[in-house]
Amino acid sequence: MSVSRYGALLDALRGVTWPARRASLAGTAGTHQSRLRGLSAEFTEYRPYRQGDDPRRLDWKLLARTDRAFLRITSDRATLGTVIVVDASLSMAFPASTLGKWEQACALAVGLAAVAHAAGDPVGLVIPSSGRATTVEPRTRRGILGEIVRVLRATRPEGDAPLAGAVAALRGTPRLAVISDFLGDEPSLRREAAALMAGGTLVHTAHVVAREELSPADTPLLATDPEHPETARPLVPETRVQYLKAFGEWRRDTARAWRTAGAAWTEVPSDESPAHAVRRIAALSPE
Amino acid sequence: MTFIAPWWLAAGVLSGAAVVALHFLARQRPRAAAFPTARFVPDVPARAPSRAVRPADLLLLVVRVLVVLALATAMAGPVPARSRRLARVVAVDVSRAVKRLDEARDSARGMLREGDALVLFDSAAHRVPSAGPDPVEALTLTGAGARGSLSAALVAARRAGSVLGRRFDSVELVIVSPLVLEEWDEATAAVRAEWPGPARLVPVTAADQPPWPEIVVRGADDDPLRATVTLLGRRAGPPTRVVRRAPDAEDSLWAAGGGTLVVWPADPEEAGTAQDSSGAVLSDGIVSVARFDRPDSPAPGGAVVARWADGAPAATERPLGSGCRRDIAIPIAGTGDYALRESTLRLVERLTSPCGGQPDVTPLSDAAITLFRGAGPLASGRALSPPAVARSGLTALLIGFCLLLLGLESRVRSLTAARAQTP
Repeated sequence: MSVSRYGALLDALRGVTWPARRASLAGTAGTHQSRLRGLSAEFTEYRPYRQGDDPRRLDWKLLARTDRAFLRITSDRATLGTVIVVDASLSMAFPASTLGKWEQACALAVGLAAVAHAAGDPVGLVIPSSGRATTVEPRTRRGILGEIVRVLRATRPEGDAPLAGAVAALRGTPRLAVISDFLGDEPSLRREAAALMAGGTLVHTAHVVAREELSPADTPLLATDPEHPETARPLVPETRVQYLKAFGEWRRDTARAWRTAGAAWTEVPSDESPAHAVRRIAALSPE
Repeated sequence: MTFIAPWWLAAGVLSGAAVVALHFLARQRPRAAAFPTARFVPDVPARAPSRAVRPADLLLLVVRVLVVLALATAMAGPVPARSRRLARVVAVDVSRAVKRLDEARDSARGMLREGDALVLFDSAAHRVPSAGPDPVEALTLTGAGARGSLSAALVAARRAGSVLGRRFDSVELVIVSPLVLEEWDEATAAVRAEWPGPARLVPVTAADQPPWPEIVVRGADDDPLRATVTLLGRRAGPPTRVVRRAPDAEDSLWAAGGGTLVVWPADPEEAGTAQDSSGAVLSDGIVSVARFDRPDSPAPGGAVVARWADGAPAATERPLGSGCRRDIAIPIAGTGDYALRESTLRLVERLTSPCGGQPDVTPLSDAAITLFRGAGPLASGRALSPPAVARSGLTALLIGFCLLLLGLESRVRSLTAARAQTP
């Protein structure tokens, strides 16, 4: 499976940027504003000269005009290493006929990876599983996008894949994008993500929801949780209203909790255009 | 429209009602399907009845009810309703017993109406197709000297009545015939009983009773057959030539000209090779018993006019030109009184009768006429053509419709299931 599968998506995302709204840690020169002051042409401020400063940074014109020595301070640019975590648990394999949620998650992952890669940021992928997580180390080389696509297409959502542990192992990552339906270990995941955010990691979340979950059909059925088969509830017209209410409340509460923790939260229906969703995610800034 | 088994309709209505009731009141457990957000569905008993009826379910319900009703209607055996009219089966005698054919034709024309059946009979009977402006014009005397058979006429009339009985409420039997004795046989009364109603008898003038033929025996002077013929007395009818040897060309020519040639060898071939100790020969109810030196070789082929007691042909008759040839293999003993017995006289009289036998146009007795006429209401169409044997295309049509609906039900069911697959 090649990148050409996502050709239309990549074309639609050409030119889209995913800037960090906060200054990043210093690293390789890139497009994101760095917390450190550097030697770039972008002037930010003057600072009085102190003994030990590099005399090459003196503003000689100002010295000639005012007989006072000041250093010219400019902003530096750095890269933002990005890791995309994609949930591959069994709940993502819904609906069974189209795998709408999983396909949307893959498209979002590829789109975000392409946007980050286009900006020169190292981008990687982590797909947690009940066993060993599938990892693509963040890199900036040209073939990284194809590698991410290959790994995604080779993965089938199955089993119970807790995300919290995989996220905990990404401490120090400058930017983290979590693409999931958050029906698994969401509280644990939020705690780990909060710890990462406290350490300066920018966290973006894409909550993938199937249209069939948002608006179930009228056909009565016995709704069975694929990850917990013992949970079987009748989804009939009499219970549909209550279901919509409970599900809506949970979505709102979860979004609020993540935003409060400092993450950028985006709900993405499975039938939304992936390009549009990526733009929304990229435009959103973590609190 | 009537039905052979109408109780099937009631069964169909009940079954349809049961299908409707099951469709709306089914308390089946909803079909299980994977649904990741199932935890948000209220935890209530899974057997909650659902009264929601979607358009696809309604279509499935309608199709199922139609299947049940179509099948029940087919099983009930629908038969198109009969017309309330009266039809006739007119059987016209065209045998030698009828003196004037135009009289029979006029009588038949007076009875026939559109839709009626016309049957012509002599020794056999056949129905005349009703196509054409005047089927009675096809009425002709069939075969010279053909003897009529009321039994054959009644059988053909019964068949025609069965066909008319499917369309008409009542069918009348009309017999146009002189009703003479020679047309009545042992089966006539039994066959008449097969027609469930009276018969209208339209008598026509019977032919004149022809005189018995003069018997000319060509043989030896001491031929015992001569004695028998002498005892029969003088006759005034056309002569019957009896040759007591192999016939010659002149004999055949005479027969071809319209005469009756009786070949009755005085010394049959291989005589004495079989001694029939309790022999008897039968012909038209005449039984002659004697010890016969019965020849082994059977009489040559043709219509059998006399049989041995064991059923083997003893005398046969076949046409020869305008006349006929009758071959007889019954030896007349030269000794004893066999040649003088009354049974022998009757047998010889029969075997020397004209081609086709001596007509007997004696009218039937009053008792026979009364029996033949019958009494009571006209035969009903249902009695002549019971619904059980009536063929109706409606049943096949309904079964085909039912099969079509079954295919449609399967398709609608799969579409409904496909929709249910994706909640």
